[in-house]
Amino acid sequence: MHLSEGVLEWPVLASAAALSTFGVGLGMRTLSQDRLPTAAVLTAVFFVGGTVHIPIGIGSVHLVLTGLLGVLLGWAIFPVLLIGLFLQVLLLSFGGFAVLGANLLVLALPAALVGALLRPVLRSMMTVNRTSVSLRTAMGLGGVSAALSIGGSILLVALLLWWSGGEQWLSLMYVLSVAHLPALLIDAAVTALTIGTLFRAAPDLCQRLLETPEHV
Amino acid sequence: MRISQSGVLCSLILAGLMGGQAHAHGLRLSAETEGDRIVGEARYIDQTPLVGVSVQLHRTDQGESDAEIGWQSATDAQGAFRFQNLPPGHYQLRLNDGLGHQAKVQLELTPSASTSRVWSSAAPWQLRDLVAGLGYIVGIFGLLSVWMSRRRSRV
Repeated sequence: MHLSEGVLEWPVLASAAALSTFGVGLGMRTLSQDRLPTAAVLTAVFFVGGTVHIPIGIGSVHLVLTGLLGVLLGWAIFPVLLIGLFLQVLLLSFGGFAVLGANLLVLALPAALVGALLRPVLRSMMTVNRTSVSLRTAMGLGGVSAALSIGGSILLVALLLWWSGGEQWLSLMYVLSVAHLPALLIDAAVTALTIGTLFRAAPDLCQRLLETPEHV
Repeated sequence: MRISQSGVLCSLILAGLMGGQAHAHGLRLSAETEGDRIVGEARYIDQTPLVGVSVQLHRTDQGESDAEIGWQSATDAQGAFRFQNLPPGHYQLRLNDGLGHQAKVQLELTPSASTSRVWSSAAPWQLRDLVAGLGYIVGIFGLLSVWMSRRRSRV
């Protein structure tokens, strides 16, 4: 899902960086001090999760986990992914510094929007049933959040590529879309299991995370 | 039985660390000049070869008008490629795997039979890079926490 340097034109890079900066500012307003430990752990999960590659045919897909982060963090996913992506560029050679803003926008925006959509649903469910939401519901919402987040990211990548070169990047858009369909399914399964487990095992933590408003 | 919150979150990190590293992002393009030939190979940073990917070679010392002069080859099953019968000069080797990863290196082909080797900057990452990253994350969020504490105490 990481775009490399040299693929996007500078107006696209600048616009994406500006929007990402706005997103980071928005996210920092929702990132209170008591949420920092959770945000740090989820940053580590994202940073390491990107290195877990699952062989599919002749290629491989890797975990993205933005759906999970979007549901648990809301708009705070922007600063969290900024740190995760920065370290991935610095230490693992994923993407590039010039394209950091675009990669942040592509990964964080759909997940933040999905979080804004699903967090109130989960919150209302937890208010009705104090113990926890049912495992099936949590897993279902987790899977949906991952599928929508990655689907949104694929669309956003296609949009940025189209803006950068139009038909020149048609084949890349097609390859990226097809290549990420298995990633979408695997990520949805992993996110569903993780959300399901978290909501069953640590409802207090989930409730505290969901209490933070997604609108700032 | 109730599982502690920190236990759940730590298990998430451990699951990531134990998941293996079958393939990885980023690619490394290396090339060597041998007389009138350029040979090289392209691999992802976990050493998986790029198979059947187009490699472009362009002159860089003949001005804008000759920017289109170029050669094309493709990587084999081992990720290797070669260009032959090239005139001396400065070249740029470019590769794009069609998945958003690309690399380029500059080469100089001299009339003598001397060889030189170049490679793109993406080096294979190792476990210590992951550990370093986790350390940075702890440090960054620690600093954020201190900054938020001070800001709150001022208010």
